[in-house]
Amino acid sequence: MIPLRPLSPSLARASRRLFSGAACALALLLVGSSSGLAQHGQIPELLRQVEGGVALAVPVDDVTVLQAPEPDLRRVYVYDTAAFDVVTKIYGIDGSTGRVLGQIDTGLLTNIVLWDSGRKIYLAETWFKRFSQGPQDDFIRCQDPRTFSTTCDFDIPEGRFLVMTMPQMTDVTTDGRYLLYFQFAPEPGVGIVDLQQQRHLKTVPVPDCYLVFPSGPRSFFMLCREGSLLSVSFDERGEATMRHTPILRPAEKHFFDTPAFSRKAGKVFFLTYDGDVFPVDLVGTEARFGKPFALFSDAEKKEGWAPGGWLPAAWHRTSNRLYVLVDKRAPWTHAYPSGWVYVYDTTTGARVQTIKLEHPATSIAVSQDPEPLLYGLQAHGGTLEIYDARTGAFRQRVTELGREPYIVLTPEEG
Amino acid sequence: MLGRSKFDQLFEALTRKIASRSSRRSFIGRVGLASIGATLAPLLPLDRRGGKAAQAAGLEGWKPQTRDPAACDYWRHCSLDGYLCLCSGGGLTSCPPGTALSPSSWVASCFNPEDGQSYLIAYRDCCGKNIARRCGCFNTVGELPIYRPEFSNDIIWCFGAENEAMTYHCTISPVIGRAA
Repeated sequence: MIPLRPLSPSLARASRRLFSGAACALALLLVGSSSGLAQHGQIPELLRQVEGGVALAVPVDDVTVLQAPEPDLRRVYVYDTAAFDVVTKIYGIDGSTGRVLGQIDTGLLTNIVLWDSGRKIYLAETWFKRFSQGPQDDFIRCQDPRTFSTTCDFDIPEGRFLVMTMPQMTDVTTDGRYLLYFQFAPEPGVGIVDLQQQRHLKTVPVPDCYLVFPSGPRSFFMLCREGSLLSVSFDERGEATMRHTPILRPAEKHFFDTPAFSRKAGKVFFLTYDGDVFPVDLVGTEARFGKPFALFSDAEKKEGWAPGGWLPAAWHRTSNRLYVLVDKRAPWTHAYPSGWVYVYDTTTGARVQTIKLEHPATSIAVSQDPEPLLYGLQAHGGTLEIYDARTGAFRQRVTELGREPYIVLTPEEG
Repeated sequence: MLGRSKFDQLFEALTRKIASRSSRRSFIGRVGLASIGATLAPLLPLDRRGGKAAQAAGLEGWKPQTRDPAACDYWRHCSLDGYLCLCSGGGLTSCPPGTALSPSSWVASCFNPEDGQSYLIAYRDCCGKNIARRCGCFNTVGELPIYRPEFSNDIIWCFGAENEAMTYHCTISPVIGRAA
């Protein structure tokens, strides 16, 4: 420690001038040298000499850049699509504490894929040469969940479907080798990206089918206009074979674009606007349709009870619990927030729990740990509310999450 | 819940039949729906709501008015999920300066309470600038899932816009015909 000493007023004024000059010199040195003048916690020699120790009357803080902890299954990501803004952001949050851990900057209507228990983050992104104008550029980036920095960045052909982010427009195969993304125009297709070699392999033309549900290392399913699923498999060159399943969706019903899907379990729960659930097991190239069940009694349906929101359903794999956003609503309000989460045992279809939310939520997710958390996201308030999924007890609120966050995502184990 | 009419069911059956026979080239034609709107119009669904109501962002349902086109509950905006060009230098049927009018569109059938008729609206996006973020509306009357893209308002409908401008700015609500 350098000893402190009192200064006369004139000396103090001179010292302030000197300090100002020294600060400028220091700033210049910091800019001009990368050799480490400002090592953490060290006092630059220049400052010692000019100030004669006076500056040390104020404690000097250690400054650094933090890393987030290793992600666990309670890590949750909130994506603020900001409507269709070209500049958007993703917040990484520790679900256990509600602490925002970091931010990822991204572009227009990004799709986020979490892999390897959340240890890998893939982004399918779109940007333009001059802000919102000029040639479109589509690309894939990898993000590190601890440093929130980019670890890979490579180009893909332009053609990502620019639609309000639907998680199943992009996903990875069950071995994590290939990323699959949907293309809408000039013709429907699925882009296959080799993540190991970091290159676009091929875009496979598909019939009038949408969304992507990986079902194996080289296979996936899609949902088609006429109500069937499309089973697609491909080889290492991207050559695909495909066939339709029998009709799953009854003509008089419509499925939400955002079903609950577990890549790990190979299960998807399609939800209809009027409150029925169509479970399907997807294994390799085979789809097994489960027994549909109703979320509501006929009397409840007459009262107007129906599901609704942007991400209205989430499934907890080990407990077979399906969490669904519901409310009493008029027809054609299926995308509006809901005030309740009803919970169903997917082995029986029975309702086992009802949770009244603190505030209506637009989207929900559930963590996949044994003591799961329920996340309720308010798009038009920029707020994430966290509940104990087993009891429905409110835990905490995370505010100021952008302008219109619609997407809340949690990782699966493995 | 959807209260589907027999006409709707007929339309659904027809589109399923068409879809099963569609080639990729004919799909491209469907993307540019506005250009074939006149042909398609007689096949589009009737107004399912029959004048039933709702607020722009409430669970109580759609309640259209006919006086203020700059308000979200103006009758033509029944399936407009975006920003009104009227509030950002454009009009009810015209794009703001410097934007590119997209030739493609999504379609809805909106009820006009003033004359008791339903009209087909082919919403057109004005493209090539970042979102206007003025007069944001969130209306979903008649909105169907993405496997029926011609009725989906979640898509950036800028396909075919000048200079391949694929950024969304705002939306206009032109009438293309009577629904019934």
